[in-house]
Amino acid sequence: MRLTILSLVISFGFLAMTVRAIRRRVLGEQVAMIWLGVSACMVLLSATLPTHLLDRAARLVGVAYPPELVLLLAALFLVVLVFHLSIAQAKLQSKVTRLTQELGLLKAGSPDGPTEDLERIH
Amino acid sequence: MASGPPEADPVEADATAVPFGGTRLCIIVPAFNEGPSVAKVVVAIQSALPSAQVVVVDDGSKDDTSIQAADAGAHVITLPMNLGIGGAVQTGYLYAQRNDFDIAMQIDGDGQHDPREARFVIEPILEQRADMVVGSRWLGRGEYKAPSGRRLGMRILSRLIKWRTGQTITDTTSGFRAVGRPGIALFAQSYSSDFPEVEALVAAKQCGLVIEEVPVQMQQRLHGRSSIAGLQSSYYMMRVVVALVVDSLQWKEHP
Repeated sequence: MRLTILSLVISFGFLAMTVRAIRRRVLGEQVAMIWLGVSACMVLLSATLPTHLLDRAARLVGVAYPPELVLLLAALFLVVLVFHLSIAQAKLQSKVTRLTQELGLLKAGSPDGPTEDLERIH
Repeated sequence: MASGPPEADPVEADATAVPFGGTRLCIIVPAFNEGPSVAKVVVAIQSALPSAQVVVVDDGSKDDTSIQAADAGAHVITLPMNLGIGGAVQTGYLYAQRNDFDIAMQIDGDGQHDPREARFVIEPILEQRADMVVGSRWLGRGEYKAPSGRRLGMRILSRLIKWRTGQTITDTTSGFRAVGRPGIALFAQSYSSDFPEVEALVAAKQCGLVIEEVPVQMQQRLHGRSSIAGLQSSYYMMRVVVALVVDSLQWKEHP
């Protein structure tokens, strides 16, 4: 019972963190949904500890040691998440590159007055 | 400003850049911390190709590259952040495309490429024999020396390019190259950031551009080291190989 309370506290703490981040608009909508889902899963797992839901689920998919199921799912989730973030990062990278190029071109101005433009910048 | 004499229209002033009978030539000089040599390079280009427009792309240098280049009379595009060679060169292609140039040529800002050799690289495009021309150190002219390890690396790259394009290119990493309008449009739209020289060859070939290689003389650089030097070169090789393999896996939208 003590373990259930402890994990419930941690889960709700995480849920509160997520909600706070969403309300302060520091999480994107898509990512906010993912983390709300994670929070919900954590709460569900904690709340069902006394009913041995996890053990039954593990037996159902043929995992002999129930905690392994949690670890497996967690690892899978993290791999997918990092993959998703890699893609997002690469997209941002190419956007920043293009912005940098456009800014450089804009600052340099038209080809007939290069030195004048440069003097103005420095 | 308004009360002064009417200033020349940018496009009109630009039209002074008319070499080779009406063909407008843009020289892209990517430079990163090349303060000590960039002015010499710009002056050398201007004396070898008086009617070309020299565009120095300062890739977020920490030194006075921009000022040196501008004082030497180049049009300077100063990038607010360092993008790496690919991003810098692509900026030049964007410039060439938007200012309606016929030919864009890359010449490194470190003094390795001799602008007097540039006409050999431009010629095949002027004569409409090729869309893209690469100046090669290895085709007999000049006495450029490279360590044996690097020679081996270059041979491997050459093989890879042969595999990807079906064409033999001896100097795949040469940054002494020129393209016509289709190449300008292609590179302005997409240009690899990491290993642009090698991958650009593959991209050009996939878009159906005709690539030609011409022999040129190259000098040992005026200062500094190659961006591909020493132990890093094997690392570079590995990454180029990976990049090429990854590239071969990518879906291409053929026009």
